[in-house]
Amino acid sequence: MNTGTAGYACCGIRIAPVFDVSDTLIVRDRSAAESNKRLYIDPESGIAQRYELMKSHGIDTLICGAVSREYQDYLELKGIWVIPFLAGDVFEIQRAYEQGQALRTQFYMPGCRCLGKRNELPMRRRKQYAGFRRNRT
Amino acid sequence: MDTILDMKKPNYSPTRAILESISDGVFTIDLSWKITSFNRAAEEITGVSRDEAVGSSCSDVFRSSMCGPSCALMETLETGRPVIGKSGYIINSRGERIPISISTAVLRNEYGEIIGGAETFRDLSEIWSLKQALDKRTDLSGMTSKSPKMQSIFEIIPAAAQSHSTVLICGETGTGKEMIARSVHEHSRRSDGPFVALNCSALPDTLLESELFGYTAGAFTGADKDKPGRFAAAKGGTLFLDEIGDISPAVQVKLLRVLQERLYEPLGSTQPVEADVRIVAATNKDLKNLISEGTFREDLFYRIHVMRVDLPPLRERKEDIPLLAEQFIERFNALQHRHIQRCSPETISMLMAYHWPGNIRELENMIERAFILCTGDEIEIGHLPDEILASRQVAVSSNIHSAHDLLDAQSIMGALERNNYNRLAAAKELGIHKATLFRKINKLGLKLPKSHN
Repeated sequence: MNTGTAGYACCGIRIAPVFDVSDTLIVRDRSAAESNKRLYIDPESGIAQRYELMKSHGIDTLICGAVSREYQDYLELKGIWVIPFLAGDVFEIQRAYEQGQALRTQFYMPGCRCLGKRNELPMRRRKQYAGFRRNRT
Repeated sequence: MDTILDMKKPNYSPTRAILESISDGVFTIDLSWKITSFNRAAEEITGVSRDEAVGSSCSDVFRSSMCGPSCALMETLETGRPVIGKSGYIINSRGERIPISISTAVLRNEYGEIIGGAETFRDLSEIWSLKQALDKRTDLSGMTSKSPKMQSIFEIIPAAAQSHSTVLICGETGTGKEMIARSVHEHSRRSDGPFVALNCSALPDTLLESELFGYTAGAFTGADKDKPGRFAAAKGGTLFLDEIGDISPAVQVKLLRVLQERLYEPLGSTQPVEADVRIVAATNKDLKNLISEGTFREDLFYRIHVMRVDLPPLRERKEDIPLLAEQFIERFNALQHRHIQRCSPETISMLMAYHWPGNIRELENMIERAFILCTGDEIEIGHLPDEILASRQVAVSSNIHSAHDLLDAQSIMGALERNNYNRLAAAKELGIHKATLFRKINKLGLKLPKSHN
């Protein structure tokens, strides 16, 4: 079961196809009473502004559609875990994620079935990996 | 695919065969935004197979920067009008941004009813990389050069910018160190953050420290409120420390700590603050000399000397002078609403003969001065300052032999300097025999440094 604060880049009720230009982020902090909080992001904003917004809301995991490699690397260097290339209903994905189900087998984007095995690592390994990447900077 | 293209096969369709053979990606959608056809080029560009694409939502397959409110296909379906040549990018399954241009059209059935839309898209990666390669030849973040030395710097900068390492820019005054620093920032992942520049030699020691790290209220007399320093101002961006060779040993120690631990303490505070900045340092001094003199810390030198960029002085890239002069003329024309066309050929020859101790800044000032004096559409020799005119001796001579001698002398001295005054190597570079080189040195009366005579 996954805990912590996750951000879902979305467009309406679906995961936004491209995180780099997405304009809405649903924040789900499982430890807080208030559940889904919807944030607006300027679609023109770059990765630094997106990161600042996520950081200010304590997001440690980003669940999104397609994301450019440089954006993903930036966020992971900053300690935000990225689970990219997912498609589908954002609340179904949220449910599956919180129940610890493997997202990639159910919600992969077409052509991305074999991607991102590292994104499915257990929480303990993910923290280690994030720590390792942070220390590299 | 063979079955589609093979005319003998029963399901052969000329339209499909054409769609399969073109290099532009083409897909069609129905009114529920599901993909109904997907050609071979679309498979190649997106990295998604036809089997996976057909039946999927088009935005999940296409993954374009235009998906969403700015979707061209949506606009076409709403207005019935095609969109042609709209630019954007898609993200392929490897996370690479692929620049594309798209065109859209509506699909109608035999009764004229809209049944979906078609989108064609062209991969512009090759055009973009060619364009970038061309741009690199002469331009990087507003810097212009045709010099091979600058070309190699332009090649290094984007790679250096992508790393998180400290960059040390060395070069004489006026060579464009701050522009290189800005370029490093613009090409880095911190480009959305601030670029903060600080000239370390412009401030006394105590002021520099408070300027860099900031202070808290009550840190010293007159500090009635907190003031964030440049490190705080540059958070998430780049801090450019110009003239780093001029900072005192005390500040050097504090800077070293920041570079090592990524932490600093504002004056009067005991709470360390994370230094989320990328440092780019610059100097016009030989830091190794300063180390041997004991005025610069060796450990700090090695901390900042991770990636070094040596900017050549203008006298070593004289081929850029006409280009730079043209650029300054364009800029001053725009600023001063003037219409000066060019420098006269004689002026250019004078500029080429001058040794430019103040480098590009001096050239810029010279052009600005000429703008004040020039009333026509061409900058003439008379608009140049005395120090440049003093170097005219041979250059302005109408005697073709004198002009020839000047060019010879410049070429020979340049080759000798580049080869550390090794005559044989210089002769090889010039493509002449060493005896010819000796003869020309004597004939032109060139003075070589005593150690090399």
